Amino acid sequence: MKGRLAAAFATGVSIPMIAAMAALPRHGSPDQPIHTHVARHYIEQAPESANLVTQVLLDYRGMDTFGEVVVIFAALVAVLVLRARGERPLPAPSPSPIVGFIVRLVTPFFALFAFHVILTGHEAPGGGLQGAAILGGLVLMNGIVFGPERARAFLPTRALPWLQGAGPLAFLAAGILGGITTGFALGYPAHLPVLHEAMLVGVELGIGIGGAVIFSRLYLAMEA
Amino acid sequence: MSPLLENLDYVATTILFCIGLWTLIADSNLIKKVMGLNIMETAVFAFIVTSGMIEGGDAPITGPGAELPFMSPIPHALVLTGIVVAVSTTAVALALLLRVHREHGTLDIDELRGRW
Repeated sequence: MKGRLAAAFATGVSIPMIAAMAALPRHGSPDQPIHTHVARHYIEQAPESANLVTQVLLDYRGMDTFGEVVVIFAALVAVLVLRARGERPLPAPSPSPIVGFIVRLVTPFFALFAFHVILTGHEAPGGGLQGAAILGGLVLMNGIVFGPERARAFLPTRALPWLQGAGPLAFLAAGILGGITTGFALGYPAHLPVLHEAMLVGVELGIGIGGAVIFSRLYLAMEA
Repeated sequence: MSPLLENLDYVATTILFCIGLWTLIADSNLIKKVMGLNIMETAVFAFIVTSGMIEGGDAPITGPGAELPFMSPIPHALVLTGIVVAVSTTAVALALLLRVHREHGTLDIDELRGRW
């Protein structure tokens, strides 16, 4: 009964939404408003070789991304507070030899690919968050196959508090550096190409490593 | 062609959204409610990314071999931010559910309601 009522409600909601979708500009046509406003400006002003998605993420909408890394950091804090006491650890699983061997085999290549994605993200497909997802997935994969202790071994204990906050800290540093060199918070100095590159890579590394540590910690907080 | 068929991609995301909404309302298991919320989020992300497409367009990465028109980079950047926020809310929701399960031994909303 409850299920049918809910299904009827969802169907009822879908009808005006589908009608609205039919009234939208034709999908894939280049004269939609989404392509004719700021997006055109971003594409016209684009540097020689750049990933425009990362450009928008770190440069034009740097404040958004700053907020986003703070949000995920806050989520980690909330999860750790909720899961603080009285947990009993699960017994470590015993993986089949094939699964164990394959996971051990791919782990270094996985990590290498993650760092490639993070470091080349400002001019090729990739970026900090994508690399963070790959690195975090690597830790999760090891944790699922070999048990949470193995996943915990990936995280350096002493640097952990700093690594968890690496995303917001890197953004803060880039924001202050940009403020000194260009006069705008989170401005990237175009007249100092080396510093410009270093700031982009630094922010990407901060988001990538900080995000990966946060994803791993979220998983470990749920697990044990 | 009718406008509904031309915008079939948008219609598909709407249907996915409503499936998520239905799961969110109808299921009494709290984990499945979180899953329904995630399906709704995915549908919204798919809708926003789809809106940035251009027929025959290139990925918005400049360099040798890249040709205009580019797809709009803004929806991609927005959705990337959105995905991270979705992950954060899901993590907090799951941690809360683990706490509820530890305190009450169940995740069924009807059983929980009986205990209040």
